[in-house]
Amino acid sequence: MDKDHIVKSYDEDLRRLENMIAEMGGLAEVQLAEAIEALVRFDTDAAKEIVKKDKKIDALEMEIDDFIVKLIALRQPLAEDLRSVITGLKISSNLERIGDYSKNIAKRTTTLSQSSMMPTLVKGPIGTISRMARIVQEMINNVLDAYIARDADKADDVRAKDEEVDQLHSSLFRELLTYMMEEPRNITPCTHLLFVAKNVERMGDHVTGIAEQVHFMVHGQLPDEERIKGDSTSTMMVEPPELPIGDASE
Amino acid sequence: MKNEMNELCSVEGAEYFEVEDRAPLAEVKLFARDVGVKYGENEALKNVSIDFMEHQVISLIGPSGCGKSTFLRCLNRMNDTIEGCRVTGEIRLDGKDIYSKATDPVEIRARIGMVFQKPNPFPKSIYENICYGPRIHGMANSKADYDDIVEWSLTSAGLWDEVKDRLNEPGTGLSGGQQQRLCIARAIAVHPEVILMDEPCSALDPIATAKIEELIDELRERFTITIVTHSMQQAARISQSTAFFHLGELVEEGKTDDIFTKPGDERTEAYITGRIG
Amino acid sequence: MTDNMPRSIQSGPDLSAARIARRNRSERWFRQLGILAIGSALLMLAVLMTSITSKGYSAFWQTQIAINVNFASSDVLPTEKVNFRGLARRSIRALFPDVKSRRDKRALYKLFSNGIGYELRDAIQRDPSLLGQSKRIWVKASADTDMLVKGFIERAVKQSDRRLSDKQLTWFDRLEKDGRIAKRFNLTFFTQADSREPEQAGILGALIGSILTLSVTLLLVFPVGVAAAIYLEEFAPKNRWSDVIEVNINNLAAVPSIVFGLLGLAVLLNWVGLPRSTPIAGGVVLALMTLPTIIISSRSALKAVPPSIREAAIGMGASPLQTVSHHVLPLAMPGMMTGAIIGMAQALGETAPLLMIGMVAFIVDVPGGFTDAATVLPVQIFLWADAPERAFVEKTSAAIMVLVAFLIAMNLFAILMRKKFERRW
Repeated sequence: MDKDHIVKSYDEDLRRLENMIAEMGGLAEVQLAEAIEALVRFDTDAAKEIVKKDKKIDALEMEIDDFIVKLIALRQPLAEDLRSVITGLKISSNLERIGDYSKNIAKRTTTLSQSSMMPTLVKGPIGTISRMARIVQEMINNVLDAYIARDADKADDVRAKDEEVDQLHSSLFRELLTYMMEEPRNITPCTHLLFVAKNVERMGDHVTGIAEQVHFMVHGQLPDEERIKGDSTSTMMVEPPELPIGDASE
Repeated sequence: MKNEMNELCSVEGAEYFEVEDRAPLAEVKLFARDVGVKYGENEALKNVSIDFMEHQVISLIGPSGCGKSTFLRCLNRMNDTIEGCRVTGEIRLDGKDIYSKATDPVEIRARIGMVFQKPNPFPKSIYENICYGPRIHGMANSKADYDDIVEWSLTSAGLWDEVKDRLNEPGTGLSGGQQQRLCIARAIAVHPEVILMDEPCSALDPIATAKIEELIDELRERFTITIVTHSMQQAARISQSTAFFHLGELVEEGKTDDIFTKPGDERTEAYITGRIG
Repeated sequence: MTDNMPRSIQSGPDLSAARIARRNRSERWFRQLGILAIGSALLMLAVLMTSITSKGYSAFWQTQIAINVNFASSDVLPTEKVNFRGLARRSIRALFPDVKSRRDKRALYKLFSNGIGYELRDAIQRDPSLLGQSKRIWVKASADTDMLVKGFIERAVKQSDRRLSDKQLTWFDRLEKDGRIAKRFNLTFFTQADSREPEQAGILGALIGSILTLSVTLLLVFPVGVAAAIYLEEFAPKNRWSDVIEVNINNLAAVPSIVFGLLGLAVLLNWVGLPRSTPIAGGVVLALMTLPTIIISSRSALKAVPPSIREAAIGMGASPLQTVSHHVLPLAMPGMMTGAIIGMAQALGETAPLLMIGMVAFIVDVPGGFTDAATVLPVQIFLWADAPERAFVEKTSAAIMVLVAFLIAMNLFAILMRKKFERRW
């Protein structure tokens, strides 16, 4: 809907909501990028900084919630406006969760940097994690663009992209299990890395949620087709090689 | 778009007629096909097709001059009284063509009651206001009958407790909201099957409006109600179906839930979100 | 928005004391002008009413002279055969035994009304016990005597320029000295019809004539006018024909009334054959004349009924006739009554058309029905104003007072009726 409302201040309110969401999305994206950067470099100072900065995202979410409640009470939005406002509410809570995951990664970075095994892990699993994070970053970026542009197709593309993240997560899961089986000292860092990877994967899921909301905002209903899921970790079994081969399924 | 709408409507209508043992809600009480209205050369309404389900409230919304009131007035032949007004198409009440030569407009208006925008009680007592319809239609024989009618109608309209001690006072002495409920009571006193309401709350304060809305919801159990309103919130609150008119056309008709969350037509969207007036 | 606001707007309204004072001054000025207008209208009305009243009030009194009548005379009964005139003259002569000459006797009789014979007859019919008695009876003085008593005849004027001779004045003075002259309430004025003799002329004939004529007018014009208005306003299709009819009705209201008189003469008297000079003919003519007024005022009364009432009734399933008769007509009735009364007042004051159908005739009998020859109040006024006798001047003014009183009564009645109808809120 490119036409303006008859009441101009209503348009201004809706634009302000968009701007706040975009700002929050930008913050979440930067948080994720910096968290992964800190992880790769074992930069504990940067990690602490990230934990602090998460408060800003939380505050922004509160602000958006208040703003939307007022908007609904005063403007009584209908149809597309209503959907866009409700979508804004949901996007902000998803972005807040994404921010939380970044914070969690930053916290684990501090723990991981104390582990002596870390350098060996940098190349393999951490590299995969940062690849995953780059995809998720791009997804966040695209889904926000789709939200601003009211572009459901772009949102659907973002949604499809999550499959890649899931697949990377599955293979990383297997890899980390293997590392742990090889060397018991790896267990602590690898477990933390498992959580980091899981966090990134969850971020992808939240972005997918946002993409679905954008689709709803544009079309008035959620996407019909079931999303192709690349994440098989919940059914994955990796057995130590000494033991007899069980009926481990893929 | 227009043709699409018509197709859609007629397909739905056919379905309702064929499938007899549906839920009772799906009975078509009043049925309009390709209704058009011309005032002289001026086409006020074209190709409107709507099914009015029994025991449902249907809202007609749209900007001023879009033809919604004109359409409402077609349904009980109120347009007959307007000079130079010509109605085309077909309107059936329980399958009976209300515009056929054999149909008496007075009978139609007795079966399809009407409540107007401005409360317009007769300048008579409250009692006489209610009795007028039953009297001209020969519905009662004795004073006791009339008393019963008055009490029942006023009770149904939620006005009995407020006026029972002053039935002989003028109806015009009541407050605006009470007058409108008196008009509703007057309309239901002749036991119509359908009640048409033309912006019944536009002259009322929010409390009086809320009372009328509650009343409409209660009346739905006995009557089929069609209401023209300018308040989209009101349409959303009280109706099960909503029809949007624009520039003399029916743009869209559907479940109220859908119309106000995800309308199918851009013009509906633009209207209900406040982009065109 | 304020960027391109003109300087004149930006500077805001001029609220200076000078402007306010100027505005208040013109307000005051206009109010005073209004008061002045109303004041002058009231003043003129007062002058008119005073002039009429001052000229006319004396007509309500009449000079009477007491004479001794001996009903014992053998020739009193049976009344039809009796020469009451002779009886009266004998009684007059008895008062003045010194008047001998025939000429003087005639001059003496002139002090008295020449209708006193009838008065004596009426007196004995009213009270047969007078028979065989000698009684002092008050009889009407002549108009000239009346004028003398009321001060309209100057004694100082030369005898030849007076209507009463010096001798007659002496006789009158003697009567007055004997206490035989008195001013009494002029009952004759209200109980008699017109007469050549001013002291015997009354307004009743014209009053009854007016009432009869107006009844005919009202009975004809109100139902027809209201029905026509209802049809035109509520039922007739709005097209070129109804426009033509509307224009014609409006034009008809502006047609000079004399034209209706000519129409009445040509159609009602010559063609239909209604009797001349009668209330029925006059009533029909006045009805024709008033009809457009009634139709126009009834239509505007109907237009003033809010359409919402019609909608409400039709929406309840009332037929068009039920709608009109149950709701529209009762609400329009007060307005229609006002229109009818205005039309009636117009008809009451109308003279010209009635002249054409012979209602200007001199009629001495009070009309007893719609087909009796009659005259009406304004025509009576016209006739009296034309009469040469000095005594008719006061009668003319008195008749105007009666006409005005009649109008006021009609208006009061209209207001009362309207109040009664409007009480149904």
